[in-house]
Amino acid sequence: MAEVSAGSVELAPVRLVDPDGSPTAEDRYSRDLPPETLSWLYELMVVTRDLDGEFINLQRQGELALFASCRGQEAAQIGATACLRKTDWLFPQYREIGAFLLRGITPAQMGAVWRGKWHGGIGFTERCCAPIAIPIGTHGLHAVGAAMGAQRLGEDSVTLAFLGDGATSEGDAHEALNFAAVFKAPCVFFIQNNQWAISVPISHQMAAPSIAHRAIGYGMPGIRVDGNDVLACYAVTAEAAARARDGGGPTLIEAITYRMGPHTTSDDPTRYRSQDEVDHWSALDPIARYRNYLQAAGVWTERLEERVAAKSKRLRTELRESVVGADDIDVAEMFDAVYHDITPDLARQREQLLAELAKEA
Amino acid sequence: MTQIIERPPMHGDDAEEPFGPMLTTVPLAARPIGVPTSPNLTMAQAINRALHDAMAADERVLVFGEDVAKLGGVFRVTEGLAETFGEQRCFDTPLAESGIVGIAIGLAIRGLVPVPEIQFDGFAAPAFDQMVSHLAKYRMRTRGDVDMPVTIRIPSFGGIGAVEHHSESTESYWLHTAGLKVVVPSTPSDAYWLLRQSIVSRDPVIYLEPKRRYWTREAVDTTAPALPIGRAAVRRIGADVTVVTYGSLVATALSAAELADQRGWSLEVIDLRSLNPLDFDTVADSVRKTGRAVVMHEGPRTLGFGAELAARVQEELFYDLEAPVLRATGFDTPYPPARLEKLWLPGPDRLLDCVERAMEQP
Amino acid sequence: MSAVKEFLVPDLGEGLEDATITGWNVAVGDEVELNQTLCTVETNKAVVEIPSPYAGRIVELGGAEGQTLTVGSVLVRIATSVAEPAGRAGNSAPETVDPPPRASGTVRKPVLVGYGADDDMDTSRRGSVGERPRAKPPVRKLAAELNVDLTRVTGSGPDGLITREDVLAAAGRSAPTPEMVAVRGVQAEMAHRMTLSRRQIPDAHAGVQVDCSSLIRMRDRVRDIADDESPITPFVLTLRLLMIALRHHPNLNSTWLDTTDGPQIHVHSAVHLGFGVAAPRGLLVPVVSDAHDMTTRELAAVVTRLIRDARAGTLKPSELQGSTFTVSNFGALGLDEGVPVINYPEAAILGMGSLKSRPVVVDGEVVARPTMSLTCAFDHRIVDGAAVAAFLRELRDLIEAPELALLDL
Repeated sequence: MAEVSAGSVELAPVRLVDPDGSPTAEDRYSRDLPPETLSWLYELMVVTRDLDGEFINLQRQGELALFASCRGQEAAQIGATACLRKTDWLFPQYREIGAFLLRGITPAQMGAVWRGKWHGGIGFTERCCAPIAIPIGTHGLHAVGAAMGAQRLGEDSVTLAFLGDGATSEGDAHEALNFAAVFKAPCVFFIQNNQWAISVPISHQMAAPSIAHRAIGYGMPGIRVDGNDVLACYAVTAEAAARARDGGGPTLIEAITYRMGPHTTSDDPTRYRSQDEVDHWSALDPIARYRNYLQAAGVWTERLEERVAAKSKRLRTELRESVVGADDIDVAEMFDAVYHDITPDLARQREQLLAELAKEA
Repeated sequence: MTQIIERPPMHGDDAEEPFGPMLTTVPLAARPIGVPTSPNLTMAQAINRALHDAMAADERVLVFGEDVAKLGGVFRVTEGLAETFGEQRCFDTPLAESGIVGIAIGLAIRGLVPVPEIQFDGFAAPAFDQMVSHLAKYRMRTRGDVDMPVTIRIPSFGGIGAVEHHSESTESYWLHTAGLKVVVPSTPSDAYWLLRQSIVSRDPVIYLEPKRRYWTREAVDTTAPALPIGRAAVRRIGADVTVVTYGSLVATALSAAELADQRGWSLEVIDLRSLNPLDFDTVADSVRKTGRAVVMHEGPRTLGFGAELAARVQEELFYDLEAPVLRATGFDTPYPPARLEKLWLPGPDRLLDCVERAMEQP
Repeated sequence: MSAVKEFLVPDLGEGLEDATITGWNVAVGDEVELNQTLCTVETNKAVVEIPSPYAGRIVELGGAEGQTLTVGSVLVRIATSVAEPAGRAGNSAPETVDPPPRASGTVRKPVLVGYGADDDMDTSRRGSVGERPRAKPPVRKLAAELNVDLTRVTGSGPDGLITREDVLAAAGRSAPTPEMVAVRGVQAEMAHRMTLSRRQIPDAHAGVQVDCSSLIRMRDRVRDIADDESPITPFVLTLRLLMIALRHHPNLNSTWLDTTDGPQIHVHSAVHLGFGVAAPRGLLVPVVSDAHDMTTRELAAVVTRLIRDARAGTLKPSELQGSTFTVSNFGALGLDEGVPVINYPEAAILGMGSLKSRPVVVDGEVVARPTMSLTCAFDHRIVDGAAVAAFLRELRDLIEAPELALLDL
């Protein structure tokens, strides 16, 4: 393990696999995962990317209101989530379909959010995953509270908060990091620094040497990792999770990656960044490099690729079928869902809307 | 002919603005021997007792905020809780209101029952985003998957000669936010029971404490529950005008009612106790009887609770009204400096001016 | 089975109005797969590739390269060869092979699911509604009360406004005569108090017939001794005996209170006795304060004075307030029986009927005796029939055998 402690942060990100797929000289972390796990990571990354593409297609076909693509960030999300237990709580922003997939949240559940069928994410919490958060960075505090809750429940579970680079500018993110450090909460802050907050680059988002350097100010360990290296993300997060489980408190992880697509399907990135930059990051693609690594390691096979393609097709079809022509949820449910115990006035308003709609019949 | 009931001398009688008379009660049957009665508690003590009893009854209940543990709260309302229940259950947080509410949400997701404190009404502003964007919406946006059994205690309202941001009326913001319940006690007994009920509720409750009345005393029976959240209380029966109010101003209204009697006006005083859910039926029954309504609240006039209530009353009781619904409130200025506070806040005079206007309608 | 599906130009991002086709990747007759790129379009925001939502054969292209199409118009028509999952109504035509060409609408249809501007929001979703009859709120209320259907009334006011007279005429009544009496002063107060009493108190009543022979005898005995100015009338004697009866039945001298701790009954320690007087202004109820403490002589003096002042109109307001029990001597008006209205918020009221000779049965024989009826109307939340019966029985016993009062002297 690396000497990761509060007080200093290495600028050089931890990397286990080079962009061309060959192993690096990094010896503080291990690449040795069982072959099944290695294949599983590969499958998840490929399926995530394919599903991501299907979401975009559906939006272009008028079936989804909006979609925020995670293309290019598969290794970061999946690496971070894969090393955790199923009962460790995740607190996503909104770009983490890789993490959702890993937890077993279905394409239909994800589709419902982007279709505007309902907010947030129905059924996510059953998978120990909070619904998506639209206000940037505010959910970091929820992650800290959940971690403090786990402590009081006597669990040795860990909470992981996904934040973006832009999110770290929000006041709530600062409060979350401070609270986590003060209370030694078992919370891992996984920052996907994908270089852009819509059109504002990381260079304009902060003056600090890196996002991970902020950890020094909070008195918690901070570490940078190559966000396009799934094994490195896995290893670094695993270490942070172990630290948290052992009562060592929170860690700030900065995963350096790139948002290959637009901020959302409503955005046009050609207005603020160059194709050269995109091409540069294309060459650092997480899936291509990992495939090369697996091939060299003898883990990748044709069979694996076929299995992955079949799974991808199945999930894409599942998404399409659940979204196209989907029924809307009964509007009356909106009223029932506000309170555990509906108030008399709200019940009357529900009746008013139903009466109004009856006139259309 | 309203019965004037003798009241025993009370703490604060010789203060400049006397606290209004509370109805003393003559019990129908003698209390059975052996049933413990609580001593007279101040409102602050009653809240403290409620927190204590709630924490004892359910180990998931947590109390936290700035200065609540070691100091026991700047008003001593959380005194003794950290000693009794330990640091895991009653703890101080760093100075960050958004953080306080944010972690409450996370704790609630994990099934705990957070009772955080925002130290003063004016400092709820930093927590606004967490309260309005998350706390209020969490249950609805997860289609009922996740409850938010969070009770946020906020010492509120004015009349204590304080510096800025310590005398605000925030209720309109919370009431305009779908998903938040808002509760305001006026007596020690209600302070105890409404807080117990808020904590037990599976919905988020903003519990506004009228700090001006922290030191009023009353016998609090911790064995017999008072009216639940969502029920108003008729504090004084009258025949001419319905006065609707809550929190600090209930005592003010009762005091004004004594003066009104001398002038031949019989006031019925309704203490709303909870603003959401609202017991409109009690208000309606009263207004049907009297035909006249005056709403009294602190804070600015525009879009105060009086505006909502006036709209409801005229919507549903238009033909029962003898006069327009009037409002005795503060003004549309930021809260005044301490020396001018008494002129700004609604008191018996402003209320009685409204009563006079209501009575003199042809 | 073949179905031709339409793919309408979608709103590609947050309320865009149209899109320009910059290049077609397919032609009519081509077989395409699901998600295969059909064309590229340029919007205000970006150039995007459009993937096909269906697999099938291209039947029609919605526009040429370089053409600008509005959102919601047809982009392509595709003949699908398999049963697709049912698309939204806007996105698939009914099953025909060659649908007629559709004009691109000026109203944007909602093709972007749940997002983006939707002109439909500003149009009514209901069938046509008829014209609503015009009338002011009080007139509408009158119409509702008289069961008049406003849609059948022709308005005679300006712009066809339906007036009060129109409604009355439709109901077959004429307008009220100008002679109307305003309710004010004592009458208003009486009306108010009676309404309050009836609304708030669930009342019941019970009565007894009382043989007043002994009472008359007692009155005759003291007539010469007593003060002429303040005569000891049967009424005064009854009041004095009433005090004794009330002392033994204090619940009848009480008030029901709804408090925050629940309902309570406030039992008054003193009896402040109100009694009705027919004054020129109307019914007044002067109050004898601390009547329970007075001797018969004192009672007589106070009652006499109060009656005089009531008739003269010189009673002070404080003398009209604060009663805890009330008596209504309608017998003095010549009424034999009656059920008085409880003086809110008291527990009970005693009505006294006329004192005159009536046939009664004594020892099996019908004889003439002076009798009067006593009727007690009471708040049934506070006392029940049994309690009132006991009270009336005692009062009757005291009146029929006044010597029993000695026990409580």
